[in-house]
Amino acid sequence: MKSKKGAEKMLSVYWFLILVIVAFGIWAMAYSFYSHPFDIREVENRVLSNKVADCVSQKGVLVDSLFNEEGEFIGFTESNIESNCHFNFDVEDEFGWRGDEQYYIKVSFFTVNENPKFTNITYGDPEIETLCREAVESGQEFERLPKCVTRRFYTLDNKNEQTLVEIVTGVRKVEKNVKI
Amino acid sequence: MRCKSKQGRLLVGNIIFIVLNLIYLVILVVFLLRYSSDLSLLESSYAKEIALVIDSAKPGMSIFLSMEDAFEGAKDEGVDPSEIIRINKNKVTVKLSRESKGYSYSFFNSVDTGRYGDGYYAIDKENQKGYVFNIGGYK
Repeated sequence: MKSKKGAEKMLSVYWFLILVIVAFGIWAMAYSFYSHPFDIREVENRVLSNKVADCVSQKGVLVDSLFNEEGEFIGFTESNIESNCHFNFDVEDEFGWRGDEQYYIKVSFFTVNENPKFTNITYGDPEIETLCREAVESGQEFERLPKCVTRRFYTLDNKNEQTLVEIVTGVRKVEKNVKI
Repeated sequence: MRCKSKQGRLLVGNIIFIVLNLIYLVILVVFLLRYSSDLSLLESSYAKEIALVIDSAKPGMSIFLSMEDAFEGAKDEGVDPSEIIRINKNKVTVKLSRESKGYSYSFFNSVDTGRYGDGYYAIDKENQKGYVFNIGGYK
């Protein structure tokens, strides 16, 4: 009788321990899930690359504003890409973001044989692309680095020749998308 | 006599055990619900969601965003539903409590989103549980 009582007490101690461990486990899971901000940079990149694609090519042809009256490629510059593509890259004045570019765009044009065809269109800090490339080459995902997306598609130029367009977009915005 | 009192003790012990377990489970569920409906978390997720919605929108689109949980949270904190979202230039701010400054996130799509209530974004009149965004032309 005595030994049975002792065993029951031991069991209740273990039961209490199990409850504490389960509670701690649930708390740890909830904390690790909810304490990290939602990282939307990849989605933001996809939307940005879609908008850039719509801006340089419509109905399968490069837009007229990329060429001058003589049909020579002039592209967009850092100063007019925002007005031509309806972008506004101003960001909130937090974490010193105003001092650093938070977006990066590079549009490259190639022939079907993948030789460079026109000069690249670029906007923003090229360091963003460098950091993304380094992360890809290392084979690891570094949350605290900017995120980039690369997209390629074929279109026709103003002479009806096939052109391969490669769009690289990057978003920095690390502080609001990653737990620092 | 002895046997009866032993059975009684067993029953009381079991009931206490079950009640304590239920209390434990209720505490865990309440903790998880409170954690997942944290207002600052809602502010950041809605600000980002709205920024993405505006980024991917095209002029002329009308978008309804259901914000039932945010409306309930704001109501508990005494914030008027019409003050939950503010869009200034290309920055959207969501505020769900009087004490917080709100959470802001910028969007890059240069479309006209106007001011609250002037036809661009306002509380949905039909069900009063979300916002409607009417995307204006390119700026």
